[in-house]
Amino acid sequence: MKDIRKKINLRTFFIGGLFTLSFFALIFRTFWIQYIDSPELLVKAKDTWERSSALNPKRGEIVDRNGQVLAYQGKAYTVIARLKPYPNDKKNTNYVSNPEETASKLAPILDMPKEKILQRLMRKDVDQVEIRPGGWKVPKETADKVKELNLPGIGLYEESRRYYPYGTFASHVIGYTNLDGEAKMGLERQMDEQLRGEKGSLKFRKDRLGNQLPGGVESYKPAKDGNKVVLTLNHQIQSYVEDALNQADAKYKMKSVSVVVADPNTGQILAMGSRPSFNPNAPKDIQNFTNPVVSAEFEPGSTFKIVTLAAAIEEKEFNANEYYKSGTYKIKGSPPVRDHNRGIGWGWITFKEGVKRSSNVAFVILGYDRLKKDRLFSYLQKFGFGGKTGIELPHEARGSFDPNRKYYPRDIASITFGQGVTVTAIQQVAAVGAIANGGKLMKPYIVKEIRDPKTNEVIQEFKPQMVRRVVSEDTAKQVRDLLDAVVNEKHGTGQPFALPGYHVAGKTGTAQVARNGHYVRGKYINSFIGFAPKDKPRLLVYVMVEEPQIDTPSAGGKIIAAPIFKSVMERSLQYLKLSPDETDGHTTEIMGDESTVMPDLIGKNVSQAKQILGQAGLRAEILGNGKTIVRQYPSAKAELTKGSAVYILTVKDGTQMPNLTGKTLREVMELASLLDIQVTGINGEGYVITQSIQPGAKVKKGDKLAVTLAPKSTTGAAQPEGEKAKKHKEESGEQNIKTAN
Amino acid sequence: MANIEKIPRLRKENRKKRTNRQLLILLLLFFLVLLLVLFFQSSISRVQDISVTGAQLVSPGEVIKQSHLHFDMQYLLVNKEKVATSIVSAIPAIESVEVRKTFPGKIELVVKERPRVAFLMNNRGELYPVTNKGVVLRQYPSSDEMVDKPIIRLWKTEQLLPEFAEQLDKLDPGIRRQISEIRHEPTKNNPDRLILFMKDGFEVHTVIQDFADNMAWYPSFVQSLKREGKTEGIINLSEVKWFEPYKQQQTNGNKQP
Repeated sequence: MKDIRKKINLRTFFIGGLFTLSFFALIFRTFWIQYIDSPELLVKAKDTWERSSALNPKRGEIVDRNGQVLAYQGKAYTVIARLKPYPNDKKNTNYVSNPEETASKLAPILDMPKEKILQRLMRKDVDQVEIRPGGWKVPKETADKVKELNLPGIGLYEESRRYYPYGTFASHVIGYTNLDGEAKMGLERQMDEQLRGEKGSLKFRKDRLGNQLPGGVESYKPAKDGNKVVLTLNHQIQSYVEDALNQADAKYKMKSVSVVVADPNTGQILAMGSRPSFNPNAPKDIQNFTNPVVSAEFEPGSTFKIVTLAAAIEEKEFNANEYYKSGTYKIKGSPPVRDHNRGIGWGWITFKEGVKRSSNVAFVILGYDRLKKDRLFSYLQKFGFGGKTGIELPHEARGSFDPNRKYYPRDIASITFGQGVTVTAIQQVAAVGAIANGGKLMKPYIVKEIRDPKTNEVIQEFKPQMVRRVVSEDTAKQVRDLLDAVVNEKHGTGQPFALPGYHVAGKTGTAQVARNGHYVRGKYINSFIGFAPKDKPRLLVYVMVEEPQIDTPSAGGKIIAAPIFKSVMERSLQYLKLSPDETDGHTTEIMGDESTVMPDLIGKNVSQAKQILGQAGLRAEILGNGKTIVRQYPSAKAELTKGSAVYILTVKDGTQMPNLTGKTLREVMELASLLDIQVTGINGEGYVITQSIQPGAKVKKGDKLAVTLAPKSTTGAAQPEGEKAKKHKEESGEQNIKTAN
Repeated sequence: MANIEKIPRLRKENRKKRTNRQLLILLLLFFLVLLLVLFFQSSISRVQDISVTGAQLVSPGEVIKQSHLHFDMQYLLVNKEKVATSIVSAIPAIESVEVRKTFPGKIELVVKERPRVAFLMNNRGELYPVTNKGVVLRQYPSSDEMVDKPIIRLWKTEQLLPEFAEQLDKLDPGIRRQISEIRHEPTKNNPDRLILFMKDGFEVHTVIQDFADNMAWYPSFVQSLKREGKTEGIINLSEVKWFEPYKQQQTNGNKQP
């Protein structure tokens, strides 16, 4: 009996203990996983998630010189439709049951005809369709609208695509990457290798059914995101160019118009744009797939004379004050060269006058008669004509100039003033840039840096490159002076391009369009190339207008090119004038010791207070003639900028009114509260010009003060009464601002 | 066989013990309920003292009124979060409220007022504080208060005030102290346009967008102007930054784009 009970007890105890123990073990293990192992496990888990998404690299960004994003890879959504019911889940009604209604609701959002959507929704052969092209990779806003409709069977699938935040903005330069991810034009295509990145790969073991086995990763190579391409373009200057082009495009009809802005000292392209253009976000009806600035070859006309002139000066064949007979120049066996006023000319004039009036005869004498073919051609070659400049843009053309070709004498004569030869815009920018910077031909470039997408470290940097010295500094200076005369002196052809306040030097060009070896009547290419300020050029702007359709097409330069040139040049110069990136170097340093803290002065005597304020870099305005300080403004520990004025009051009552002239409203208010007086009448804005309590008068608590203020930008001139009244009316309008209660 | 006899005896003992214990539990329960009733009837369970700290602009009475707390209400029923949200949502000048309960019966409301970034002046010269969320506190005209914030003289578009207030809040206090007047004068092309009159005599033209970032340039900009020996003038601090002395403005008037 006892034995049996003992046995039972023992067994019960043993089994119960075992259960308890295993429960504890279980709880302990759960606790361990949840709290002790969890960070490690989380990292492991994240690793797996990330691996699956990291296989496709992210295309690199394209940014301007200041880091403004011009192209980036972002999220996009594709609209998909489930067409049939689910075979193993009859209750799930999440499929398109009413194609007609679905299509008509989607049509306006996806910008696709209803019939086309319907056609897709009615397909019998598949279970699911993407609604292309309207619903293919749409931005988030559109996707949200689709989501709001809450249509059964319509879903969204997240993908990525290229976005161009500024739309039509340097489109031909940047180019575009289409929805399939293929780089199509411009830098997107040229820099594709850098931007594209490398695909990753993941190999793993699978079981018989194709499921991945746990821990079965065989090899794993993460995707490498594409590099960031930093351009030399300046977003701000580019936007001035786009503005000017838009205005010209809206106002006039022409075949095309292009603008280039460059820094002649480094060869960096700061802006480049043309019309007709396209929106790279939705590239449709692109009229021209190449960038006209680098790919279009055309006869430059008179802008080319700059090169002839520079060559003649360098070879000492030019004397500004020498006279020649303008009008016509005869060449044996061919029609004579004539000046642009139908060969009438201006009689005997100096060469300087000839340059100013853009006389063809002057340049034929200089280039054809004096320099002769060999010397002329060697200079043309030195200036870079007939060869590619090497800018990082696709499809660069060479132009027709080739020194080894056989030229007839009349052709050589024509070349001296820019006819019978074709060039590209970028060649001219480089050549004239050499004159602007003092004789060095710089390689034009547009890609400034390649940076790592994650660390933002510079992987590759492109520095200004001098190709060769073409003329001496002195020659370049003489040419600049003559080009200055073209714009800023009487009879100069460039006068419409003058900018008040800036010294612009430049040259106009008008060339007739040649087709099949004949010049076409009434079709011209007008251009202007100019730089400013004349002696230390910071900007070179080139404007080209092709075949303008206006009443006097030969005046296209004056009518169309001049406003573009002027607005781009003026706004850009203003922008560069005190652009922060110039002061960047010493800003931080100044900022460091710029601020100071207001000391506690109450109870101190005046001379002590003055000394303390002096050390803190603050200006003291002492009110009253007491000995100790009773009040101060601002209160102690307030942060201040060095050099600002603080007020200290030495007597409680009966202070003298200080002179307020030139002070601001806020200072008046601050003073008033310090002196315990009320400011009742305030007229105008800006800085005090009159005050109702005269300086020196004793004030006591509760006195009323009125002030009249005026901005300094109109320097004291009182506002006309009418305007004042209007201003007051405006001010009362502000009263409808939300009142909090 | 002996086993069977023993079991009923055991049961009897058990029952006796159980009845004793049940009685004890019932008694305890009875006293507990009695105590509870007494507690809730007495003044110990009620709110006896409400205090407000940290309010400068807003009056304590106003805060208490909006808290919906009153004397002699059940102390235990006071929900801290509910009280706080009802005050914050009713009084825009207040950013947050911390409700501190001390037993018995004491409630302390620790108010944190919203930072005020500017004053708005109407055409009668009255000043109203503007919070960092852009709300004009019209019921608290500041007559005696120290004017230690920029004064908004003209504001055309009410919807833009919150954005601007947020920007102003972000701005370095040292620079904020330099601003005297702010005028919002939108033009057709530039609905964001602002004109600022600075204490050191410069007139700043800028825009609401990125106001704080743009104004951060001001001290170093002025510093470099002074180093170059330039006089006072107009400084444009938008995306474009330029300077024009006052005199030039006078001679060739409206040259600016």
